[in-house]
Amino acid sequence: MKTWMSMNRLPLLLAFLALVSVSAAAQGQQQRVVVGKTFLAASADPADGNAGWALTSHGVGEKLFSVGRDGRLAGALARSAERAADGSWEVALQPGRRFSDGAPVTAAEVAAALARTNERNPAARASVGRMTLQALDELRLRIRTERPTPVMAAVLAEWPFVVYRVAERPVFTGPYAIAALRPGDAVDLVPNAHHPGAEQRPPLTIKRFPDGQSMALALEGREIDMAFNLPVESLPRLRSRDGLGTKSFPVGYQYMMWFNTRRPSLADVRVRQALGLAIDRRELVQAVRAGEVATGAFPLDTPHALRETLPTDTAQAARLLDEAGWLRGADGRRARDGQPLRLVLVAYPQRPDLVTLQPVIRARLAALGIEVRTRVAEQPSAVASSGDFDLLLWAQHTLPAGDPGFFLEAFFRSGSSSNFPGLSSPEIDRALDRLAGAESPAERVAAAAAAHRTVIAQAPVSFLMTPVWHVGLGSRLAGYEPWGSDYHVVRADMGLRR
Amino acid sequence: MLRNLPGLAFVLWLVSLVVFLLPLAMPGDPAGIALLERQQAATEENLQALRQAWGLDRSLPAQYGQFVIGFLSGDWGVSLRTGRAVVEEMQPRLPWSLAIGAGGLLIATLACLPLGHAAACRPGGLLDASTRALAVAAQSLPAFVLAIVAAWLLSAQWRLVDVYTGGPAQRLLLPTLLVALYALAPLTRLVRQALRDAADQPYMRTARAKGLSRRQALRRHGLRPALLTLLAALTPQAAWVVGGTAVVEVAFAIPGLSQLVVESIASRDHPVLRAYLLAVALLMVAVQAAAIVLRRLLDPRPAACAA
Repeated sequence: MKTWMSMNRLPLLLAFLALVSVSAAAQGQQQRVVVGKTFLAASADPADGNAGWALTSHGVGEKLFSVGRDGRLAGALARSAERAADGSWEVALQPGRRFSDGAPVTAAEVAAALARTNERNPAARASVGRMTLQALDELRLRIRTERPTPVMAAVLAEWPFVVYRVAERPVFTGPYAIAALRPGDAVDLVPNAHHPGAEQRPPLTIKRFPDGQSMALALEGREIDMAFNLPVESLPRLRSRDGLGTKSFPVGYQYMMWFNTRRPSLADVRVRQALGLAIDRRELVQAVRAGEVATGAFPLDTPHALRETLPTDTAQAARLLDEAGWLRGADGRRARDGQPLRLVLVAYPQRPDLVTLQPVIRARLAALGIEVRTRVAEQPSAVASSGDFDLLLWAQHTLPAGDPGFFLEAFFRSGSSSNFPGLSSPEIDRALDRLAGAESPAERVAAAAAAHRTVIAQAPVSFLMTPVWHVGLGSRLAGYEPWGSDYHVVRADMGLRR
Repeated sequence: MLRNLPGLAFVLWLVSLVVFLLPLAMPGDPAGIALLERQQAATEENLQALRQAWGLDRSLPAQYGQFVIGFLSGDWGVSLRTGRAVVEEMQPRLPWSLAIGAGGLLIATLACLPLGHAAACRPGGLLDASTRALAVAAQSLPAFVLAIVAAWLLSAQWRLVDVYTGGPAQRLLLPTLLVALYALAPLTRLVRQALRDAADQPYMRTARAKGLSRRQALRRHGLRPALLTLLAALTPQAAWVVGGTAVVEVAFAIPGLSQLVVESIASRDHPVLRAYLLAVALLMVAVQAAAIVLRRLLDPRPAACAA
């Protein structure tokens, strides 16, 4: 025994035991599904910033209504929303639903949660202002709003309105519950025992990555089972690896270019229209190697998309600039009253495609005789809010709740907080008023289309393309079908054990 | 050291002033940024309300006074980005950064002595040439490049380490080793040169005459002066490690202090930036003080004789 346990054998035994224990631990880790994302909820309080959106994305939170895979609004925790004669809304809840701690989802709990969020989170007041909620009975509640809306279901499908039970630690209804939240690093989730299918659902961790490239590396190393939103250049490498696959899907975001109408050079609608005509949207799609050309504010696979293409016409663009007084000099550059037409085109690195689009757009505008300088700003919010741009490339989900009113109202109403171009247009405001009053789905589609065309004509923005995002999948999640942009990454059907 | 206290206090006051003013020089209004993040209109009324809530409407001297008093009493303010206390933001992140920074520096310090000694014993030999090549590589290769290559090799290709999702030990391994590697290169050359200088001293000839081999003589009589040189180099290396840690934390998705600082810079989170900068300045002072104390222990001779 003593001989056997001599110094030259003991280290081997210890190493073997260590290897066995590490391997066992690794086996335990492998049971858990790991999803890689570049964004993680910073808080578990839906009233806190955009935590509501993150918690829904993480499969923790649910709303009363939700946009389904087909882009249409449907009931989730609620069955219906009906308007009363006095303009208030009566919402009926689905029976039998429970929070993750087992407590039933009642009208009183829902009213308390949404009232709290509406009070504390300005984003929850964006569409209808202040809300007054009252439980009528166990499953019905009445909602009165500061501003009227014809589409309460769409409002309640907006990302701030996650349903939860108000407590020291909010409790939710989604397929997963938070076991541990490590801000900036990861969130550990456990199946919500009170959500259908819980017994088939594996534990899950969402790991935050600083960028898509490191996420691609982690997927290659089989450290994660899914990498959400990969850079396009990583796809061929991942596809060549055994056991890995990729899927691409249109995401509901639109890429667009804001024009700062406060700048003298862009105050003239003819100049803005000329800039829009100069851009070849097919070139943009080729530059990012995926996606579709935009026909307007909404993706083609949605009911609110316009069907007519946005034209590219450099000759017309040149004529418009000439009419606006921006004439070509001997050096080929345009100037007016001795002032050259110089513009700064801003993009931000959080959407890498936008940075890719910059030189393509610059080249197109340079061919028109416009001098364009590009800038990459790390803080797009600061640029947008301060108006420190001439042209600003932007990515926006334009139908987060399935209704076009949200985007059109928020970004184009005169004086609204997100009216980045700074355009005050009575025509657009009137069109938005008509949209606000349209009640039936058919009326809303028609009114939205009219408002949409008015926006395009006034050209505070040029809609560019609908991007496609890429998801990398390991063998455990090979059957996962991505949809719903980054609003629904972790869903009830993810990684179900058979 | 006690005689230096007034000077030290003056320097620290100056540092606190610079640290307070530096974030103000950054373009972008934190209140405007925060309002937009909250999807609230950036009206003058809303901006004013937010600035008032944050205490930004007071005069700069008043803000500075509160900053210094708060820092000294442990109240490092509230993060403009998250609304949580700065101390609460930093606490869970500190162990990660400490492990990488202090761990890397410790490994480098311990390893540079035997490596420098071996290089000094055989000038022009394989080890000497290797450490020289390492020093050149460390100067030329950006840390983030090496980080990506290391992650690709060890995780994606060979699957030896779960660089991003493993336990703390696995996640800290590569970043710590990288920090150690970049610190090791210059420290090894420093120790090597210090030993070479010591080898030319008269007492080394005496030691050799007494029958010690070159290797033994360097080890017994050369390491102490080399240690003194090493201690002098530790403060600038510690400063480098703070910056180097930032690179590897971001590259390896480590939820450390540097990741917090990067996010705070993007959102113009002044309280976090100020607290971090002042804490790092104090850390450098502490490192310098520790180096002085250790130096005194190693070399108790008065300064005039120590040269």
